[in-house]
Amino acid sequence: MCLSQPKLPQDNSAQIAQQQNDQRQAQIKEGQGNIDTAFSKFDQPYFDNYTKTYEDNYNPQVDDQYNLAKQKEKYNFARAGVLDSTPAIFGADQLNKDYGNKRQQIASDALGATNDLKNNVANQKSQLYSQNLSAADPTLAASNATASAGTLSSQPQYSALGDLFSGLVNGTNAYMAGQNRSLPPGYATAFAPGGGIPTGSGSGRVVG
Amino acid sequence: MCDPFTMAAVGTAASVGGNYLNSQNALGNQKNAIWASNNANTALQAKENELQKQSSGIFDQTLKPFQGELPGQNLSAAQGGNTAAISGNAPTAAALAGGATTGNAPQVVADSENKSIADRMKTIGDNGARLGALSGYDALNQDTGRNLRDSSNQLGVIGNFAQQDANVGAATRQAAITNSQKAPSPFGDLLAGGGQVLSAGAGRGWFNKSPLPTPTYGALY
Repeated sequence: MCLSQPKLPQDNSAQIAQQQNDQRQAQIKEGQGNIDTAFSKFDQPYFDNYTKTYEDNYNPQVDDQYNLAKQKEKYNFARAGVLDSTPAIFGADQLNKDYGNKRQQIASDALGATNDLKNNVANQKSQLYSQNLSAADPTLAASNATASAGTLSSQPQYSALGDLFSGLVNGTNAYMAGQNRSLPPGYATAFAPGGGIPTGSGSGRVVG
Repeated sequence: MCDPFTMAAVGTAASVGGNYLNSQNALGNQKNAIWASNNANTALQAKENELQKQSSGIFDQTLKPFQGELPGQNLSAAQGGNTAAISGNAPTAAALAGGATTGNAPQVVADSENKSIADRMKTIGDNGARLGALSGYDALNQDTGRNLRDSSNQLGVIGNFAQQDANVGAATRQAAITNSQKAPSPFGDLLAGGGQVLSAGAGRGWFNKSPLPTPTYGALY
């Protein structure tokens, strides 16, 4: 009996470590799932809506300024007596060109801002993934994800547009005023440099 | 039967047998250790292979947009999308009308304005297409960057798992080796020890049946 072979105690340390590792990996996967769920609202329709919202914010400002500039320019044409004329059509076309460019620039800016937003979202998600790995705590990861998802929409500052068309209208106005003051071709002012009293023969004569 | 020479031979045989038992025990433990180590390594390798397969899948997916016709197709898609978005926000021809003429304008003037607006709409459309084509590069670039970051996140997690598995695997291997070892059997030592005692006893004459006659010292005279 006392000569029976003795038994060595079992080493369970690896089994315990394996269990902890399995548990940790399961927690990380669960945390990832929570992050993905929290960020699932940032899908393409969300970003499309952001682009539209951006345009909806700036388009009315451009439209309003354009309509005002158009009206001012039309008054200028009327005052100059050139309404319904080729110079007026040219002036209006310059304003239309600026208007078209501004509207398209708004759309381009909206796409850029949307890209920035997508990058911010991706950064936040990346940070949370990293934190989740370190913490291996799905509850913490979920609360962080919810907090990040909630604060994302309040980052950019949107400034109002400046005066877009006044330079063009003023320029047109000055051009029309200059046109009004200029003499018709063949006439020259006596006070202009190099000018003088017109010479040549005519039907008039000096009496006395 | 129990003569000293026989007992010495039995003792020697028992000693050799005991030593043989001990060496067999040691050999068995060594074999067990190797098997346990191999099994632990195989299990770890299987886990690592699975993770490696997952990583490869993610990497292949990440690489796909850079291969074959896809880069060109993706760029075209990005440029097309941006052009549509930019051109879609351009003003309409109706919005551009009425800036230079009145209802009393002669037909020739009205026609001239209409032509001017039509030409302007075309240049606005062309500008939109150019701006869309240009910004499409940036859109695709940023999209690619986000995809790379996303796959990096996933690969990072898998890498972390692999690292942890390797750490645990080393401990598992060591524990498997430890648990595969049997305590040495006491019979080997007992047999060897007993044999030695037996041999020594035989040498000392413990097993002599008839001791040599004791000399008698009597007076010879």
